[in-house]
Amino acid sequence: MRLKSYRDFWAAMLFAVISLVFLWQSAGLAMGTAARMGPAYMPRMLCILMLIVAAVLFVRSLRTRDDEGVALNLRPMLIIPAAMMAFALALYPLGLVIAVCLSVTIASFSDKDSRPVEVFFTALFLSIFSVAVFAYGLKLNLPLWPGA
Amino acid sequence: MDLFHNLGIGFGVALQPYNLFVCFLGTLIGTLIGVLPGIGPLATMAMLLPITLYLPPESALIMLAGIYYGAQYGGSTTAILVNLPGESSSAVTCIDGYQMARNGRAGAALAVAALGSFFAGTVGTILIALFSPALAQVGLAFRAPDYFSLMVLGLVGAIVLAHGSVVKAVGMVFLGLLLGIVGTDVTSGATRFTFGNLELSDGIDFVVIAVGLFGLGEIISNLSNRGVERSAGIAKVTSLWPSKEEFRQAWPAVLRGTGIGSVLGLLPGGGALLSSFASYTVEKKLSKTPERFGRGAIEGVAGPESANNAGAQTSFIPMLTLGIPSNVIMAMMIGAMMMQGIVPGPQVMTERPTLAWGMICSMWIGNLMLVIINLPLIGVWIKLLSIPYRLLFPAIILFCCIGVYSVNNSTFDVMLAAAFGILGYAFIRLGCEPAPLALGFVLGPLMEENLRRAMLLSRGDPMIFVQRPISAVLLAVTAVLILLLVMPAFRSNRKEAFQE
Repeated sequence: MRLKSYRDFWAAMLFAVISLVFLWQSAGLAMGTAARMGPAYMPRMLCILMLIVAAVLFVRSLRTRDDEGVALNLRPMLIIPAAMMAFALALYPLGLVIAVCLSVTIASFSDKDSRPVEVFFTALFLSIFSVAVFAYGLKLNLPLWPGA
Repeated sequence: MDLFHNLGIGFGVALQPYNLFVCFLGTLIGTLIGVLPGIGPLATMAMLLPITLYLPPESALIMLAGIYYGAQYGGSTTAILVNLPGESSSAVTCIDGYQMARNGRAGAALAVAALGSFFAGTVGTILIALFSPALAQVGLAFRAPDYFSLMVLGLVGAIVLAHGSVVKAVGMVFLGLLLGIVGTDVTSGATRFTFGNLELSDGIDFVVIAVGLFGLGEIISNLSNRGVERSAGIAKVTSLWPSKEEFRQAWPAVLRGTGIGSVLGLLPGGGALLSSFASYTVEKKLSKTPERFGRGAIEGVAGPESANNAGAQTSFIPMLTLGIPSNVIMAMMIGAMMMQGIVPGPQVMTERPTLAWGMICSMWIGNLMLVIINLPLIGVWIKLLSIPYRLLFPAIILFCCIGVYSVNNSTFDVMLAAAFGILGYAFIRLGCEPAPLALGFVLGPLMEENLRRAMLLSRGDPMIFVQRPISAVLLAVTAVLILLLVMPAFRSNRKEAFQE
């Protein structure tokens, strides 16, 4: 047997893995009865339904042709979330200004055309902008400097 | 007349200077973000939602409605000027709008889009005002089994109307429902699927899902195929006024688009996207010169743009009268209401008339503002479009971070959104539409609660869903939809309709 659609195959795998993880996590929860449903009743039903969907997709991936590949472009896929992680982790110890500069710098690596000088000015502009608009203008609860 | 009395209350609220101001601000910022390529109305609303949290409920919803209209119009502007749809419903506008721009008629296309939208919005507002009170009365008769069946209908509708694979849409709905019930179970107090994480015990926030799947997923996807970006440059805008000839061709299309949109907006899963596709197809079929379509036919802009606005407007009706979102935008509005401590449902119309009617009237004012502020500001939006993407995307990511963070002042939410961003990109690559997931996510806890209540009432007998008349009718409609989906003739039509 050869795969005819990689998209269907990987979608099936994704749905299957997620539903198995949720089934495993629901192990300690009470099932209850149809009249008095426990916390595990609906989630387990959904997991089983999702497994059926995964099975259908798997069968289809063997039978129906689909020429689109699923190649992921790993550079932006990993760097953009990394930039957000950096923002989230830096905000509390280091404050908004440093968090902004850090995330803008990391994000710029996801694009091969980025130029260091531009990145510097973007970071500068965005940190001033977010301090002015979000911290002072909208009064959001954001620490500005390290240790604040 | 009740109608005038209600509209009176509404305009009384919407015309207060402060509310006018937030409506103006919402429309302006909405357009500003919506113009950016690759950012649709949903991501815009999710990003800007936190700003509205500090306002009183009426003003917050008015501003959010303004953001929505602004974002949608901003998307059309980008579609016409640079052939980049910010979201799927303006993909249709690209077809003829961009061609008009290349023929030097960009101004006319933009003006017709704005005026058509305004007309459709006016009709939509009147329809809401006419039908909502009566429907809200029906809504009051809904019990748990009826709500459950209504949500089943809504989700099946979303599956039928999702573009792409039906099987994948079904899977996405289940996944959404599952993600929606993460957190503490209200009935038993048990924590579910939190992986031992305290921050997850309140559940996942809708903003996290929306920003992650619709915002970040799109950005990653844009960055990974840079080849198509900004292929042909920005069209020049000369005169904003359509010629007499263009006007004559456009207005019947506006009327038809408004009609189509008003009806389709009511359907569960319907709203802006379906309306604009349907309208384009109708215009092309009715036209005596169908060969002009795809080469800059003004009807191809006027019809869909009116239809998507009318559809957007009337999709508020099920939301306001039953408290059930029929599409993801309405899910966002419901999320905002719940954050303000308002329980959505038929009682909102009677208990909070200033809120419901204030929002209805402000939609009309929001549409008017689009015409007044956006046409003169076209120059500004064009400037914005000429900023290269490599300078824009760090700013968009930053706004996503700050937006997500400020909903709960939680940095954990930012990390969670980052994770959903990866998932969102994977979904795009696998051909899975995220919209059904988002709808399932909002309906998850509601569905579980109503299912439990219904089954408790019937002592575990599922027949209750067909014995109650309202529920039985809703399930019958659902069955018809499923039958349609299985029928080969409809399937080929559906494929055709979603082809771009």
